[in-house]
Amino acid sequence: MGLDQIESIVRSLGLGTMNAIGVVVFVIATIVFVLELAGFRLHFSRPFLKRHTTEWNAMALMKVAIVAALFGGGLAIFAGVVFVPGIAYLRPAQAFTTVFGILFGLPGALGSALGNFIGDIFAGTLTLGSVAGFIGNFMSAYVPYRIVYAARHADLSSPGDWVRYVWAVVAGAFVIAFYIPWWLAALNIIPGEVAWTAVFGNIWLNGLVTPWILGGLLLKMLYPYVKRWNMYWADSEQADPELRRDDLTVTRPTAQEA
Amino acid sequence: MEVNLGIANVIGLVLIVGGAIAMVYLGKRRQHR
Repeated sequence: MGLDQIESIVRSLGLGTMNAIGVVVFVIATIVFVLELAGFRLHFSRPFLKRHTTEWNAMALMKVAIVAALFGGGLAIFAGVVFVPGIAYLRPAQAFTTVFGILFGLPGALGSALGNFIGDIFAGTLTLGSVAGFIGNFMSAYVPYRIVYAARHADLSSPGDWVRYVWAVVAGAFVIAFYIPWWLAALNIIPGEVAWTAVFGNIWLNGLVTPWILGGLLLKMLYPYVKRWNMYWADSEQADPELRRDDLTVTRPTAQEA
Repeated sequence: MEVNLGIANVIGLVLIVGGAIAMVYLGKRRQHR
């Protein structure tokens, strides 16, 4: 499915429908973003609001910096391939948001947000739209992180894990693809018509294609190292042992237990 | 905004390579502790 098909789907839905979906996505995602930074997490079951386990210690901040550098750098390299001047360009580095969201959790998501900001600076696309870019890219890492969540899914050791990964990418791309154009249209940074027919499709495809292919391979390759290095989010945050157990590592006694 | 893409590409490469080195360095250090 290419840009033309997406554009015709958007046209048949109508700009009103796109704006309606956009505002719902925007409000929910912004609330989630603010709550997460304040230390709270929304859940689908009771209790609906709980404290999360992320502490902003030195390790978390280093993860933020690493992801921001990798993502920002990756964006800058391809900034020359422009789709919508001043707004959208080719972003194969978008694969980093999914992968590091899943591996590092919240610090990975914040790193993606900062990385996008860095990318905007070097691509010359730093506008008022970058505010939505910040939160939108946070969500494009955060949504896959919440969907994959446990180490036994992140290791991509079974077809089921791959299905979950593909779905996580779709959901992440959905959120960012509605979040940013809605903001651009609402503030009249670009005309609503352009936001939904051109920018929406670009963000959607950028958020799908490379995260599926490049992201899947990268996660499969990086996961064993990150896990061994104790940098996987559930290990760093000493989360529930059930979330830290994967299908690759043979359980062996730690140094303290031996 | 007019940007110099050549410089952006070089900085991008430096950031990617630097980020990767930082991650491996940190990881190895944590593993040995």
